[in-house]
Amino acid sequence: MPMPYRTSAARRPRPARALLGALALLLGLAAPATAVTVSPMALMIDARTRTGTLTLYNPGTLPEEITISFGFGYPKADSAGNVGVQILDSVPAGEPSAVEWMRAFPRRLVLQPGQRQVVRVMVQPPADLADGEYWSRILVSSRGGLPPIEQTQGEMRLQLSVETVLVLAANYRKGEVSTGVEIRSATAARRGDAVEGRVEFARTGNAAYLGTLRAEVLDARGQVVASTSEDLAVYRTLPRRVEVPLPAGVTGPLRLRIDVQTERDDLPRAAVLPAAGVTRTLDVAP
Amino acid sequence: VNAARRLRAVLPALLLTAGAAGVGAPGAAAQAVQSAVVDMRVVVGPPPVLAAPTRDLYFGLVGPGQIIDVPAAPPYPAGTWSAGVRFENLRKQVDYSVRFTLPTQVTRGASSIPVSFVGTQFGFLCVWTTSAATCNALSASFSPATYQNTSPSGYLIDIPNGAGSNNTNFRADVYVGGRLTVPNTQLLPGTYTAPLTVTLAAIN
Repeated sequence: MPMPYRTSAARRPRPARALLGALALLLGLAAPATAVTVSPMALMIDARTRTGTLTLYNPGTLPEEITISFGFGYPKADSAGNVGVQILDSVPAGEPSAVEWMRAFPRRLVLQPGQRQVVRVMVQPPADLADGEYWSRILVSSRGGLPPIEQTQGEMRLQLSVETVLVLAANYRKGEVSTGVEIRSATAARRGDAVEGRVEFARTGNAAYLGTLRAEVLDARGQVVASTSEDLAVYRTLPRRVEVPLPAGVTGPLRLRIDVQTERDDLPRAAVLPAAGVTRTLDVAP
Repeated sequence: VNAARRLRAVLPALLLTAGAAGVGAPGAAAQAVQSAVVDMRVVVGPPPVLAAPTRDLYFGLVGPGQIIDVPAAPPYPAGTWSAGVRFENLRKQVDYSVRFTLPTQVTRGASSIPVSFVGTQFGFLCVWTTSAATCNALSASFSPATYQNTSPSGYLIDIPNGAGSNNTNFRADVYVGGRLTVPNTQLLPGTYTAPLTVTLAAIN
């Protein structure tokens, strides 16, 4: 029977350590020693300044190694309708990528505890660039200064160190840009104590549609009995599922009103392109 | 914190007598009332998103020929625990996509020990507002291997509408366990390493 490797005294696994680990999960992890905050979560850079800024901050108690890089991606849905942002290594042909023109200064840095750092994102597009909006994603990778847990097994050690990456939108706009959104199809159905809407959006114009989707459930008298709102980003087309929980006792024929407006409280006003609102009201299938 | 606040300041009315200004009929105390309304709109942006690794994946005692499973959530086998990453200041009206870069092995030079992350016991999400112990907003198990950076889909964090207001600061703890398959051969001494990356993207 193979014997376990011996462990060092400093990192010897004990049942008590496992218990502490479980306890940490059960009771909540302690305040992180290594952490980084990033703001804003989206940069809209215009051709006049060709510059945007990110602010990084280390609220932890240990230094944080930060790397800024760029990739291409935007919200898309898979075949099952799940929306995500996949960062691609290479940009598909025909996509309006700004990845090649974006640079971050500094690109690598170490944030000391309590330190704040502004990172400038500069765009150097080709001179003959056509009007329009060009897309990129900023990847803020961070690795704490805390050495990874070393599991010493005699002379063999195992390390699985955790790194985090925050992905932000970074779009570049040149010249005439416009946006809008259309509802290609929409359905609504009751799912237990909620109403589920499924809406397929298609963008118009030459820039991403950044707005807010508000969904309201109306009763037979046209009164709003429940509502919700969510941020909406349509870069090309996007199937979107929205669920509105119903208060207890709501019965009878219902309708779902979908209202889309270019209002976002997380973006500067100048970053949101104005567009006409879109409203659609649907019967809710029981 | 996301609310737009309107502050309205009304300047005090100014009373000017025509006599003081040297105009108007002699002896008449004509009054002109002037006021100004200043409309200010202060938009307070959302707080910055925080990312923090909270602990590394720990496999504990390792012996030749062993297969060691570390689940994402308790109970853990003795001497092991899962990796943890915390994201703070998430917003209810924003969807987030989580992806992983997972090693297939921990290596030291040409020597390696396979590690895998296939199975819903190896991924756990806890979204909470007041205590991480409650996962009061959302909790779910998932297979990390399904949501790698190369996969077509990320794991979607869609905070339920009933979980809190739009201004609530949601925190998401992502836990990742794994399976270590130790070869039944003599392993080279030294340090075996691999990175594990957790990526959060706002769907914006």
